[in-house]
Amino acid sequence: MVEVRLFAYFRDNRGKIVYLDPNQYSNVQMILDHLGINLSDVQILLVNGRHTHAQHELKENDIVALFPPVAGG
Amino acid sequence: MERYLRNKGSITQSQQDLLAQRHVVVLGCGGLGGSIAESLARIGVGKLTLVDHDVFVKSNLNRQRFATRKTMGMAKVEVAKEKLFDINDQVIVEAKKAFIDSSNIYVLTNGCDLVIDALDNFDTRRMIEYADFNIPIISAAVAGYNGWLTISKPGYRNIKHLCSNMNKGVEQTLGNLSFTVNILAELEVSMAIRTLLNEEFSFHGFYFVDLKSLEIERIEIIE
Repeated sequence: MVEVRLFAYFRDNRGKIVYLDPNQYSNVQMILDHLGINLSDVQILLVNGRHTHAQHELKENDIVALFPPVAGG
Repeated sequence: MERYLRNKGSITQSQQDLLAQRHVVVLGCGGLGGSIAESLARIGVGKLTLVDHDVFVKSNLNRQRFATRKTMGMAKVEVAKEKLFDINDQVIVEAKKAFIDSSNIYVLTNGCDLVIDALDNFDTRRMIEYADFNIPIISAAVAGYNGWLTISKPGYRNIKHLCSNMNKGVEQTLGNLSFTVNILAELEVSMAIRTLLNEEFSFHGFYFVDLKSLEIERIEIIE
């Protein structure tokens, strides 16, 4: 399974971690579509700790992390 | 000295003396910056330079340390300087009412030991990291129940990871809550004090704070 770690308000109604089958959701964009998160709302997109893009192909045991932009002070 | 009696045990006399020789520049004197300035003055950092171009308005009252009904319309840095003098007259406080940009960032930070980013937008944060002035920058930002904290220094440019192409983040819709701002401010102070006392923070990534689940998670980024 792919482990999808959600942060900030992405957790609302979705939980902190979602596990998805990479055979069914083969890239990050498919995961975003499944979770109902717009790519434009994602500031930091990491797969296994590296910055990447929505077309990144996923494989078993990958860890995806998604953060919105936070800039307030 | 009685003033610092309750620092003892965690901060030795020689460390206290070291803090008294340190100079910290706080960029932004709003929610994060006001609390940071107060904490640094209380703990005994010798010199503080506070930079902000803004005046207090009513929407600051929900969270900003020196925003009161009496200080509405007054320059944030001038109010902070006066309050800090009440708290600790041994601290030298410089108040600079200025908009921070690439034309003045080198002058503002010249000779200091540490810069603390208490800004409220990505553009200025990106600019200070690119300015590459060879002084560590401790940085944080907040939105709603969340915030991030990091340190940027030569070889470890971490602010860029957090900055969007937009100038603002989800705080535009989620707002800035008092407890989130203050917790992130104090986390910056904690990292600042340890940095001023020569502890090394060298990592690629950031800490992400979630106050709904009361968690701080360290996010490592592989470059």
